[in-house]
Amino acid sequence: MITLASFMIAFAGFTFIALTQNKPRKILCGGAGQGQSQKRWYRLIATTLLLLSLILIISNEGWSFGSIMWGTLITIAAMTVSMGLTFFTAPFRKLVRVTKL
Amino acid sequence: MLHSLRTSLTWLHTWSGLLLGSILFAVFWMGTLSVFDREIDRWMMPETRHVLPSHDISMDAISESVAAIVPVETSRWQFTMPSAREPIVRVYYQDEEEFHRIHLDPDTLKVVEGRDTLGATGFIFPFHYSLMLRWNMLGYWIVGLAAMAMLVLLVSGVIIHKKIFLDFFTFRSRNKLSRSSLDLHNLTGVLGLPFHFLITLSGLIIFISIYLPGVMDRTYRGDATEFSSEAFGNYIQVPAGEAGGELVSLDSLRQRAEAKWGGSKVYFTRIWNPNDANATVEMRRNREDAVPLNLDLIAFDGDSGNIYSIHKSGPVMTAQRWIAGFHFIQFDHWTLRWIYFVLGLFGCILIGSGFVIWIETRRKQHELEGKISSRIVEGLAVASITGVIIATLAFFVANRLLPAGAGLMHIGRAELEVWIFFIVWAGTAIHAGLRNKTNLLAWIEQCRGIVCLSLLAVILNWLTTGDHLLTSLSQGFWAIVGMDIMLLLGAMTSLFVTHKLSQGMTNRASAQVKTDITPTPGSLGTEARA
Repeated sequence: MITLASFMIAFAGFTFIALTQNKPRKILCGGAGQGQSQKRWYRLIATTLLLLSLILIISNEGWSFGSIMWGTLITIAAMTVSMGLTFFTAPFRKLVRVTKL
Repeated sequence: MLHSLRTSLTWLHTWSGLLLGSILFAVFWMGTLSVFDREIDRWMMPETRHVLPSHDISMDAISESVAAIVPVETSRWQFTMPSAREPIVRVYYQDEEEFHRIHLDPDTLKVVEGRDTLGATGFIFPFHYSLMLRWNMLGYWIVGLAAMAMLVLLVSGVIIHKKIFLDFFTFRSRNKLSRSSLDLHNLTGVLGLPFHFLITLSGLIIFISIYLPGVMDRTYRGDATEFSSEAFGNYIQVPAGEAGGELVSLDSLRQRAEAKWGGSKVYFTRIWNPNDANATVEMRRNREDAVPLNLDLIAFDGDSGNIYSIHKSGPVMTAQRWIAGFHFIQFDHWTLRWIYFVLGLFGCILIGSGFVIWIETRRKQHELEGKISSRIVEGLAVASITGVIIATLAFFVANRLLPAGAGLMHIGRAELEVWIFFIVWAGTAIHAGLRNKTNLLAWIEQCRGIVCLSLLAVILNWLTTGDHLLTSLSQGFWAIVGMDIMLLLGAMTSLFVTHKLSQGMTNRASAQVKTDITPTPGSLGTEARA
């Protein structure tokens, strides 16, 4: 359960990173512009979320398993964001709209 | 001219990938399968499909069973205790000729008869690091060279990537093959970089004594015994003395060993000179509860039960064993096991897509210039990618089809399975060479081969063992369920790829026809100009 939560948090973190980039932002928000300060905020939130997922997994699995788990899990999380942008655009867009990002 | 760092690294990336891509793909593919080597063993050795008993199994009872089977003059025998991944007692003993492996039923401790096979632990796993080329450690060196190239490829790939941050999540799946392959290559390369880099580096570190023997030679002044004693806990064997000694209770030794290791279980026991007054009992500590692949062992005098040798790794070896543990994944962690499997497949996609990019970006130009290099590379890529997958599936199918006493000349059944792997692999290479004259045809036909062999493997497992997917599910044979589902998923994926490639081939053929009938400028005078 904690692993899943950590994965979801990392996924959210990478979604915030994706929203600071032109192509993914165009796909998810239909080309709505973004100021520099918002970009900075999104990057800060993304970093916080990724750190949170690390802390969560280390506290659950310990340093040894936790570090391997986090290092591999973030790859899967980032890949899920990419696949979401490519193959599940409509639900991903809806998710972004619902969360008012 | 190599006029900039990026150009030089692009050249290095392209050619090292091209030259060593085939080996890298085979190593990554076999490594990915090795993540589930014991589960594949259960599929290939149906007699070992058991449910782990809930009670503790007596080592003395195992010893009694083994003593009744192995020859009296044997110099040693050893066994591993049943575990969730391998719920049988695996016994090895040596007679005058060779090493033998037998399995004991965990409930009755009687020998379970089965067909002779190397399985995944005996073939797929050693192939991953040695290519089964044992002569002068040639296979280890080739894999080491490929691993070094992989590190170079990963680092150079990041440097030559023009838009690493802008295209961090980009995958244009609907664009033409060269573009979508490049995106997939970048995506798996960049996002999978931490895992791929560390798994490759750790693979090199594991075989440090092979790849950097000079360091050990200098540090230990050429004394290999001292090195192996300090690093791996190897101890000097007591030579056999007087025949007929009585072995002390293994259960009592196990209790003492486990108490010394803070409750951590003994997983492996070896008896040296078993029917002798100078018998030695060696016990090794369980590796399932932590990342490091520990080398902790205690050797007892088999007659008195006194401790003869004890080993716990020092700081440097503990670090090396952590790295080895990270690579070998012998720990009990199912989530991580699946993540490793998925990331291993990403590695295969990374290498495979690299091949496709090379071919697709040069195909047209080479065809116009009448060069055959892209055709040769395509043949190599087909044999390296779909070919090795077909050969692996043929290995599984042969395992289910060959009867128990099968053999050919002096080749036993287990070796015959391996021969079939290599013969089929060579066959796919010949097929790729003959059938790649038409665009994508060799790929399509071999993908169809994957579909057929995957389905055949699942059906044969059902017919020869009676364990179809529902039976395996109801009996709780998760290893078999996983293997069958993976084979079915592989068949479905391959079918999808076949469909996509067939579409691509049709599109290319119609584009070719259009090019052929479209008049070249000037040939039709005013019409063409208009």
